[in-house]
Amino acid sequence: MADVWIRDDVGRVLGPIGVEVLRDLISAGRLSAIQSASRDGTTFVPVAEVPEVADLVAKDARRQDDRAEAERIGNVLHVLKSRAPHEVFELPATASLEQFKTAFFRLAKHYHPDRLPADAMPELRLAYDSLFHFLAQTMAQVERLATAPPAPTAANAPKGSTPSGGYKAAAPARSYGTEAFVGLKQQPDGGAELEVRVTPATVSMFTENDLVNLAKDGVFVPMTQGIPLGSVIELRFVFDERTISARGRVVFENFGGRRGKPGIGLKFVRLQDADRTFIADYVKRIQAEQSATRR
Amino acid sequence: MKLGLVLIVDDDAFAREVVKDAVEAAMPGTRIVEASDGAQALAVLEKETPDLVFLDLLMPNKSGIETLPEIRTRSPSSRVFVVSSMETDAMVKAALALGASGFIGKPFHPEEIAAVARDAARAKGAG
Repeated sequence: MADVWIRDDVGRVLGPIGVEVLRDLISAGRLSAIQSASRDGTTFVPVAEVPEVADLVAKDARRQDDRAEAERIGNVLHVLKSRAPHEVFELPATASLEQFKTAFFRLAKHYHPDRLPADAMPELRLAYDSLFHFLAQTMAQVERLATAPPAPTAANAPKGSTPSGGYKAAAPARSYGTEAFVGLKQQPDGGAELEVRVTPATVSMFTENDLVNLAKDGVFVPMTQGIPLGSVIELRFVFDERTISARGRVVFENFGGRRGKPGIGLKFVRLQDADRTFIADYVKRIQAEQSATRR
Repeated sequence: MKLGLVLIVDDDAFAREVVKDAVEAAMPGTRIVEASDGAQALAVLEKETPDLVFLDLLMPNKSGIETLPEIRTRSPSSRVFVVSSMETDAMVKAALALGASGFIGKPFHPEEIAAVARDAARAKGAG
């Protein structure tokens, strides 16, 4: 590719240099504020008119945005680490476990590293990952406290918790790792693919919603990102034993502060009988195990 | 051995001053000429033949990259050291390919400049 000249915001010129050299300089942070470019060293035009330079500048702008966002998230994490769990989730100290879960899913979904574009800067991915894992660990701590008999003591209670107030529930401890989450991928053709990890911690998606559940040929997927009603989505339910492909139509959504978990309800438009039987058996088995654990 | 003339080419007056101080400290009495861009540097070469040139890359009007080959053509005996913050592997290779004797990254320690000046003086004496 032909050499180019660039001019910065104070009129300094660099060139002729190859685009590869320019790329190195920009990505190393040596060059910024490029205002114009030239192919002959004489006539300088706005960067946008020299596509190979414009492309490098645009990518650099994104890198800078990513770095700034990574720094912001690092600061958020630093502050959150000094706070009690209920403060982390912006809840009163007397909040119920269900309130914690709702707040956790809202935040964790927002900061899940999978939300980032594939070419996001590693620093940003690391920042998201760190914050996500901190939230997951904090939520697991809340749940341990809520389910551990006897009631939390001063020694093991998280800072700011109230043993007689919040964090109460009878549910078994769950994992809040990334594997429990829902991955939504937008397809190039505008469609969407939803990959849902099904574990004992998430299996209630097939049963707990009165409107959309397996008995009514549907599923309720807890998530914070809305998908338009009527959308047809390719579904992948990932169990430890197997992965089931299905197709569903969005028939219900619960966002915007309504009661219950945020998420979307899907009606199956394709689910093979053998797969339906497998899911039903899995649900039954897990419910039986959880029931036995509670006794 | 003394250096006859050192040419410092940089649009940043402070950078020129730091280079000048380092050269004067290392080689007292050396004659130093300053230029603030490539065009001024080439104008100096119309009348003078420096032993040593310290050349910035990012400058108004005529960049160091454009100026470097012209210095090599007009004054083949001059040693040219690039002094620039544009220090990446690719840029260093490009500068050396154009005839630079070395690359000093900004910010630099004055001793780096002084060492180059002493080397140039030794080379001149040996030659």
